[in-house]
Amino acid sequence: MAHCDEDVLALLALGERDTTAAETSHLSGCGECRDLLEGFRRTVAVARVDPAGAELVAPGGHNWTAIHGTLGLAPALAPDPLAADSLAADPMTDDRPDDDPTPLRRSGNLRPAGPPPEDPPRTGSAGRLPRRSPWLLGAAAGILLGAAGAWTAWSVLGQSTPPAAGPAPSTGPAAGDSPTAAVIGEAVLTPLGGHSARGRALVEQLPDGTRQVVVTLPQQQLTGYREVWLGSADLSRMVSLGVLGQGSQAFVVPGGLDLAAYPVLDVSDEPYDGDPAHSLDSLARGKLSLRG
Amino acid sequence: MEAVVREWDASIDHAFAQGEEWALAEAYRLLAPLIHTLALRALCEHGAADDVTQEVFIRAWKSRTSYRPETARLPAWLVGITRNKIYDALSDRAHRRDLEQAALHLVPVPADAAGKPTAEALADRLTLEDELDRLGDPQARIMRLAFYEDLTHDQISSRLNLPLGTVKSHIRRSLARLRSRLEVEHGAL
Repeated sequence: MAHCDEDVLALLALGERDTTAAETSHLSGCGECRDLLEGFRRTVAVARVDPAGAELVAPGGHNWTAIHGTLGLAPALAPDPLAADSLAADPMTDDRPDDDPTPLRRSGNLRPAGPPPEDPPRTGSAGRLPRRSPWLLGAAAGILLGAAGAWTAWSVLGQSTPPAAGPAPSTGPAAGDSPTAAVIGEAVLTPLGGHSARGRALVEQLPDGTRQVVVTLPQQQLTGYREVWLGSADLSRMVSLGVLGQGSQAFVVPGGLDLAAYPVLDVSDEPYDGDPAHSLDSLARGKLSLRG
Repeated sequence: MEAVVREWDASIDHAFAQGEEWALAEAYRLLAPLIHTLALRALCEHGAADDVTQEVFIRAWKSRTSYRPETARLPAWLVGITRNKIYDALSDRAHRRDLEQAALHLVPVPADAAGKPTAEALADRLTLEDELDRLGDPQARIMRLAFYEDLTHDQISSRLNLPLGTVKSHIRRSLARLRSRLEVEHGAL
């Protein structure tokens, strides 16, 4: 028979149907068609690689130290991003003992009967194993890693569009969708509890005086949705700014709100339970440093 | 097949391009284990794998102004830098045997003997995701339905309301393009 139809070879590679007897016979004698089919099959196999179960070897902590030092990165970023201990870099807990990691209190608008914050009692750094990240676990233990956590979170319906809502993260007074917005404050958001994504928040002032907070925090695998809060320094008072979608988003700060009295920006994982209070499960948090 | 929810999203790409340091830390957290494993398997030496890991992130950060989030995803870009660094390291050694061994390691082998995906297969998957993005629609959509939802070209045709012949030729052309991207990626060796 003549060479196989290339369209058909593509469908065979995708496993849409089995080869017919005639095709099998042709393929056994025709290197050209066989190579084409094999190339397609390898491509399909790569596309369908399931990241779950891959064994990866995490680099030792000295690697990040070297990168951090060579590039002169901010001191706040000094802890190895792969190490469980870097999760302790919460500005709210820096001066607290390790076993008292969560200053959220069940008062004010916080859910009065909520469960205690997620972590079991900790016994030093060995007990700081986060809930959702096998990479961190492996890094701490210095063993081969299962990559399931991060890799199953990988894009399948891949997209390369910028964040869906709000302006792009600003880098200065003239950035973002608001060319005349002035940056009047910012916060580095560091992960809390078993969470791992880090990000940042910028406070901008628009020409009409409106203040907005632009929050950038990479998407995570969650059972609930992400809500952005401003809190008092001791977190006894919290004001909800709204729901954070994917990527970066701007939130209007209520005009009468004194940011000096609410300097903590917190992003929580909220279950779909209709309860308007903070879930007590914070994903990331940072303290706003205000300019001027 | 996998959760649709992503831990990586385009905001990391954009923040990286804009020089926000947290994005580098985030990229390191999510990709350093893969990059380190690729280097370790190719170079078979811990010190050399550490060197490559460090060089990749240092180089990437220093040349971040040449990174365009609109045209490439950061993971694929970093994997590309990793392949170059591994190649450089092997060239420095100038051991033909190493080159052959590395070439063996870097061809797509989807899974190891235990059926687990290899680091190289994961890296290729990232490269391929990047190329899928570049296909544009409807090609990218067609290929995702074929790859991940296991739809036949018939089903894709009715789902997207496109003629059967169009779907078939898109599938063939897109597969050929994805394949050649993978070959180019490995061509350095």
